[in-house]
Amino acid sequence: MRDDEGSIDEPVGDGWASDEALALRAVQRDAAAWARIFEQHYASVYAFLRFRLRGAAECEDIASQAFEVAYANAHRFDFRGVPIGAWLIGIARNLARDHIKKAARRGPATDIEDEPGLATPDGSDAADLRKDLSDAMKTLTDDQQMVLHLRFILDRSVEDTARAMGRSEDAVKNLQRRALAAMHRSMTASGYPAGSVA
Amino acid sequence: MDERRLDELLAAALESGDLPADATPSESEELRPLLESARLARTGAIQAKSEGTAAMPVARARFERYIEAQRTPARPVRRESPLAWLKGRPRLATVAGAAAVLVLVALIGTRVLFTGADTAQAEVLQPGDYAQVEGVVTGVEGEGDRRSVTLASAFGTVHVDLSADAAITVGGRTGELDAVTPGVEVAVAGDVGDSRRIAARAVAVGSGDAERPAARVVERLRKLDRALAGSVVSVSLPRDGSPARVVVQTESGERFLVPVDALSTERLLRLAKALGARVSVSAGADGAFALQVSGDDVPPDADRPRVPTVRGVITGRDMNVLTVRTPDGVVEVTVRPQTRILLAESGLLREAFLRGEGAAGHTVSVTGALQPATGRVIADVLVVGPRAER
Repeated sequence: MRDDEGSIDEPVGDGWASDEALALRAVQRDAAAWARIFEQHYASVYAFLRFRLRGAAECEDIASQAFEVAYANAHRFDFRGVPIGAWLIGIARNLARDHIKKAARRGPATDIEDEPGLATPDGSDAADLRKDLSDAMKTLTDDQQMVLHLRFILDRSVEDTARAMGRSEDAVKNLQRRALAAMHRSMTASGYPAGSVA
Repeated sequence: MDERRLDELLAAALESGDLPADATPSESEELRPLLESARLARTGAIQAKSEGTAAMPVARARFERYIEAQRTPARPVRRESPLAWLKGRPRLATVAGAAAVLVLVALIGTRVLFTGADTAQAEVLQPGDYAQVEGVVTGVEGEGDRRSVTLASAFGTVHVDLSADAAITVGGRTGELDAVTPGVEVAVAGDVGDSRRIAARAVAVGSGDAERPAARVVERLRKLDRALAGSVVSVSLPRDGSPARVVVQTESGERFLVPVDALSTERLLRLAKALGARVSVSAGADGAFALQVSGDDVPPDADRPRVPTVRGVITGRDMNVLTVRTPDGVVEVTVRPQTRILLAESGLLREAFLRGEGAAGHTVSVTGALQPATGRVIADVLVVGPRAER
């Protein structure tokens, strides 16, 4: 990840062609490639987790774990099956799921040591919106959540989302509409009537 | 209303940002709230990504260390069998050599028996250390405010002196010295004295039906060349600033005494429960190793006793008393001259921190003893982290 560890010569951007070049080097555990992948995707993976987990510290930890797991399993990555960003999100989703299950087994936090994160809603608009969005996400099916994450957090096109999810574009468009409708119902219940939020 | 058409209209609207011109009034009515939801989702995503970007420096450093560790495969050094040199030798030489080795082994064995040498057992607890260990109480002597407790730990017998100054917690609540009885599982934190006895500062008492850990030889880890992972059995923090020593127990039951770098020490002691944390060991610098805490913050056996830890954000300081905001309220923390203050991840300078400068707003994890009378925590170890997000 240091500058002297090499550089990526291929043009790298959002396109699949450049992603493919990056993926090929990632499979070989090229440090510079992984540095690039980290820079490109960490914030998105973190954002994905931010709507699933309670505390910022948890999100930081699980996001880091996602990259470590990805690196450890780089040899299994098949770029033809799924783009890097979606692969990382898939890993993060599994880690978050395990984390939530463990937290559920532990039961509710009863003392300050049990509190996994320092970040609690601070009453700001941003924190309120994040919490309401997070609550709304929980009312969606897994597929609906995935569509919203890929479309609005990873900014993927319908075509890319369909490819990442192994669904048709029509199915993604339908899931997208149903997900937004369900989210609207939940957000309305939280005091977000359409058009009233600045 | 045709759902397929609505799907297409919505996709087009999300692409352009406007309602499609060919949408009917009722279709537009249907689409408007969906576009608003999409806008909120995008706004939330931007905010969350912004948080993620702010978290990147620390995460990047962790990932770099991880990659570096993977590129330097780690494994405990396997000593070659003492008899390996005999391979391929003529039979007579082999027999003679074996006899010589047996004599040598007998001599060394005699020395080990009479000197107690020479594993890393004796290095686990050193005079002057602050230490956290867990074990099962096998004996208690004394009465009143002074007790002498013997523990069976994963690295052998540990002697602990208990006094009225020690904070006893039972199931997370304040308890009495009488709670420390033979058979109970305890986590002890305190200062190691000259005779390697721990003067307990905090004792967490767990269940009374704990299985006594089997004591095994502890090997000092000097070099790694394969992945080594396990759970933390003890943590020893020297006073002179030299690397902390952690005993890691692998799943197969091996125990290694691992000198640990400063950053890993901080991250370990910042956990809700350092003892029992699952860690992987990787190569480090200057003879120390790095630890990566894997999995959850609180280990799966969370019902085991844990040394009380207060985690929160420093909001103020008055002389040697810090005010810490925790999720459960405000806690006052007294910093003693003996308190170990770890600042590596905070970006603060020690001198500045001791002058009371720049501490407010930083995250902090405090291990120490709760004074029931004042409600204050007397800090034994203070791990100051990065500034908290607002």
